[in-house]
Amino acid sequence: MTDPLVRVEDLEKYYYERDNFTDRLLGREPESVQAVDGVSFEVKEGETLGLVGESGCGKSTTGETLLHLREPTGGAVHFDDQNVFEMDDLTEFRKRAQVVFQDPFSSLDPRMTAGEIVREPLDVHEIGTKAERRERVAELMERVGLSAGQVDRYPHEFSGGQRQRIGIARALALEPDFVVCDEPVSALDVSVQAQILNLLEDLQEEFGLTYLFIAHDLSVVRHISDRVAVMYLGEIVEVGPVEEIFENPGHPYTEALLESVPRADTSEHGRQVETLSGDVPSPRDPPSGCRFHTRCPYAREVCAQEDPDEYEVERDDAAGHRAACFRRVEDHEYWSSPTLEADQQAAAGETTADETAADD
Amino acid sequence: MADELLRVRDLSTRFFTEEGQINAVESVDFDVRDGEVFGIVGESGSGKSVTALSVIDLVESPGRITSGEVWYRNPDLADEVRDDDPEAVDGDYVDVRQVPENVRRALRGPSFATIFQDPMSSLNPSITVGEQIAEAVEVQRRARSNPRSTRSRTQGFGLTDMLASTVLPGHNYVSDESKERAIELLEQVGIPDPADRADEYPHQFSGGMLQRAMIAQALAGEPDLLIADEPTTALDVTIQAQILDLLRDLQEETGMSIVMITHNLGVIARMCDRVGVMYAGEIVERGELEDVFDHPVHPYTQGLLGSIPDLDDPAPRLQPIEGNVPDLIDSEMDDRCYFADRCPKAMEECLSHPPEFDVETGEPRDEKTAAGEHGVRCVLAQQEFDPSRALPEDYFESDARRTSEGARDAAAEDEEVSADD
Amino acid sequence: MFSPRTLRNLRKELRQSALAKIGIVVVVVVVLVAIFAPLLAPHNPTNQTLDDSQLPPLGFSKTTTETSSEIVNGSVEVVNETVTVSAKPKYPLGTDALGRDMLSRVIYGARTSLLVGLFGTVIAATVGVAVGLVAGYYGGKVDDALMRSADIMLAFPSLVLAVALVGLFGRAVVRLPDPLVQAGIAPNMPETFALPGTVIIVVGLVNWVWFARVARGEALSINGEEYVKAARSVGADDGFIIRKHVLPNSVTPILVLATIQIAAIILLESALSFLGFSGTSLSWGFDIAQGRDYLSSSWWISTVPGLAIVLTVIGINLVGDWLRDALDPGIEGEGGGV
Repeated sequence: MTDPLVRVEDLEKYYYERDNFTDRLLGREPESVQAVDGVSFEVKEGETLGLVGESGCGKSTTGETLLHLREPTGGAVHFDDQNVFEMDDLTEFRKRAQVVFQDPFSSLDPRMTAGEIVREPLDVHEIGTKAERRERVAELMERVGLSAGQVDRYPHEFSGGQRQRIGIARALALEPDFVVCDEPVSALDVSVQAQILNLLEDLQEEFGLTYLFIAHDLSVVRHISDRVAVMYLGEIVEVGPVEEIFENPGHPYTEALLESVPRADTSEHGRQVETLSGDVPSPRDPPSGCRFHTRCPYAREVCAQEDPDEYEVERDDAAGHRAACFRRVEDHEYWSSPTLEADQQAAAGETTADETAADD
Repeated sequence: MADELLRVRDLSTRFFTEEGQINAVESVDFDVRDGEVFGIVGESGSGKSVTALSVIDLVESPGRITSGEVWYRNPDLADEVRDDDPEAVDGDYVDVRQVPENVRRALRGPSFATIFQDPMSSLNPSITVGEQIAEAVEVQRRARSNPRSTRSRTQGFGLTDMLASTVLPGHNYVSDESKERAIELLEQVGIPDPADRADEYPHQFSGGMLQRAMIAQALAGEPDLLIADEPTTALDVTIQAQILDLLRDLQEETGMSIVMITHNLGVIARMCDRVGVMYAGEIVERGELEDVFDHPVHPYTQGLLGSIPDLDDPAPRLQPIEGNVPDLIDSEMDDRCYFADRCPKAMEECLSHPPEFDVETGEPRDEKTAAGEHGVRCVLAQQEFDPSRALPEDYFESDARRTSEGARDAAAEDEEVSADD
Repeated sequence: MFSPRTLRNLRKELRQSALAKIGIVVVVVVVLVAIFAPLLAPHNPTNQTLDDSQLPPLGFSKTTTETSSEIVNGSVEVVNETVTVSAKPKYPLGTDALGRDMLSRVIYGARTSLLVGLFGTVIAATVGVAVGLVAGYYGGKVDDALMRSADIMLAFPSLVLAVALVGLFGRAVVRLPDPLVQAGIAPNMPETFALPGTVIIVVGLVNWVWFARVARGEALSINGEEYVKAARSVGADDGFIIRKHVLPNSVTPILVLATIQIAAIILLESALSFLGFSGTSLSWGFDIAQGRDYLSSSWWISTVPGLAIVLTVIGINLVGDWLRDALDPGIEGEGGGV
């Protein structure tokens, strides 16, 4: 088994609202938004870890915080056994870890040419002479499927897919080991999306890259990932090998996600879908206990009181497949706990914070 | 075939921009039958949304509908219009494009309703959700009491009332009746505690709830046809599933027809009975869901289906369509199959614009002849792919570069002309 | 600095807008007049000819009552005589109370106004953009501190603040030798040109706040763009990001603001001169103040420089509008609504 290149431990990122000068003047308590609340996972060298979840679950924040593009409020990220948050000099880390962003429009400076954008990392680290940089840029452009003759064009002269290729070329400029792909294809049309996915796969093979692939599209994640982590409301609810997650989901949320995705297949027509009820609760005031209990079809009273740990999903070949659900434990008190009434469930979403405090 | 609610014929919409004339929708024909869900699928820039807007006549400048007929079956309307515009009536059908502006406008709501991708920007943030739906109910109620007059639709919404409602925020310009009906509608679309939620403002609703409220507003007029333009694109999959369920339930309840516009093939597969695939402003393939998904003929449809990773059976490698979506500028569109430059099976035949073929017979389709459901705008319906006639791979590369450069100059010269249009 | 696309927008907007054309013509004329003042001015603007005082502009005449006393038959008799003073072609715009040529004074006044406007704006922009970019880029407490002080500045009327600052610094004047006169091309003109140094600094310090606010807003929004995040992720430091990304992308609104500020500063300079805080006597505002006492008899002493101010300010504002209209959609708009 290969060593983890990236090890994330209890990563926490809270935002504080109502925390400016006026608010302090008025004596208002700052309100915390628990965007990422104690997330742990590993990315092994050469693999693709898919990080999947719905909007607002904190998956992008996780990606940016682990790259130290945002200041974490807790936890640690070990990159090659060094804690990123305790590094005095990030230069080396910045060379080895890169990011590809979602929005092919906002991720490229509109006033720089394609060549300047791809060259920027080389400029920042002052790598090579002018001529060498120019050559490297041309080489990168061709590698990602653009022509070297397009270096002098501005971003608005490219289509969305081509812009995303420029962003990928920029990320590759410093020959990184680890790339965070933050929804790199979700803004693209399906035909172009497939081109970019293939490109990312080719590049991984060619340069031995390790990917953290953040996405909300389950079919994309299934296609590209080796292992998958599912996020809900700032927490990872399930992690495991891709086949395991999709064939034998261990968490009711993962089940519901898989159930909800419309398949592009005629058998999909008229399929009765067991939809989840309700909306995602606000991360300002997350539910007590298991955060999913307000929408969970199997919720029992214990779920509203206790926060489940991650349990191994039992199956012979299920190496490293864990889910945060009591149902994975055979003799858990869950099984004797009374079921949660529907209105209780709805109410629980709103009055949680105090209850938790009392129970702790 | 009397079960067609809507017959769209030869509909074309163009945008007159500085860069040149853009053929967003080009000679599109389709029918929507009673109680069916008709899907239009395509990538961005394929013209699918503009098609929808053209049907309900909401195309905004610099766009203009340049030709086409939209025949809508409504015997009552036909009777009313027959005297004034005999041209616009054919049996029970009325050509919406030929009736006067005010009649056409009066159809939005009671006949055609629309829901859009972004519910947040479709609702007024400073008025409660309930009131906005009640307003729609009120408008429809008054319209129904006197369908031909536009005056009735604006009664009570005059300047005085506007001023009054500005000065007095609590000023109600809807009756209790319509308010009650609004709450009923909110309940119908599955909003819990509708009476309380009706008094909340749009920002207090989540995305999924807002989309439900939008649907409630659209239902206020009890429309015959609901046009849903990417209704779930902005939503998460679990919420998307809820909204799709809701739309299907509502359709079964009310018997209305739905035109579902989306880029998501999965949504199409779940919802639609018949599908049209759009590319570069044209419907390139159409048919029953099974025809299009299981036996696609057009290489674009095949490419589209090959581009999406299968959730249940992931292929090791995706088969994308090479190249990019064309930008539809008139001067850059040669008289050829618009997909030929990206098509892996492009042949010499593709250099002339193909008509729509009937897949069963392999013959070009004619307006008049009743044909099978499955139609495709591709010569492959008529003949097998012949490698000896295939175009060389770089055929369009050199060609496209030349024309696009030439077009840029031409567009600059055309600027003044198009501005006058 | 400008992409071809921006230039295309500028040209297009210019073609469509008659006002923009007028504005550019006015500004170009005023700039040329200011540069070649010694060659264009018919007289030395500081030469006094008391015999020719208060002459009206061409096409106007002035009637005054002259009172003389005569001794007739041993008694003093007061005679009221109506005298018509007509314009002299030598002084097409008339003369002021000391017989100085108004046309020459207006021509030279353009120099003062434009130089103060330009240098004042440069100072205001430099200070303001620096403060604004730092405040917007770093946010938090830095932002709070800088922008609160900017707000305090804004709380004072700019003229009051300027007067106070001039009072504090005194009225320093920089005498610049006039190269055209030095070269001997225009022998009769003043050899030096008085640049009101304090006024330039003061108007700059009074107006930096506007630049700070605009720059801060831009920095704030650009800071949220993913390309800034991307630059940070490759290891670029703050200086690099501000220089390479934030500044270039906020240039457009700052440029538009600058044109409007030039006009505002010209007005402020005139007001200061009018109040006597300028330090130079060759200024439109100064002349207006001078003519105030003669408004009833010799209206042109105030009106001519007044019109010059109005014309220049309108011209510059029209250019500013043109830039705003042309550059604003230039970044966002992709054209074609499909």
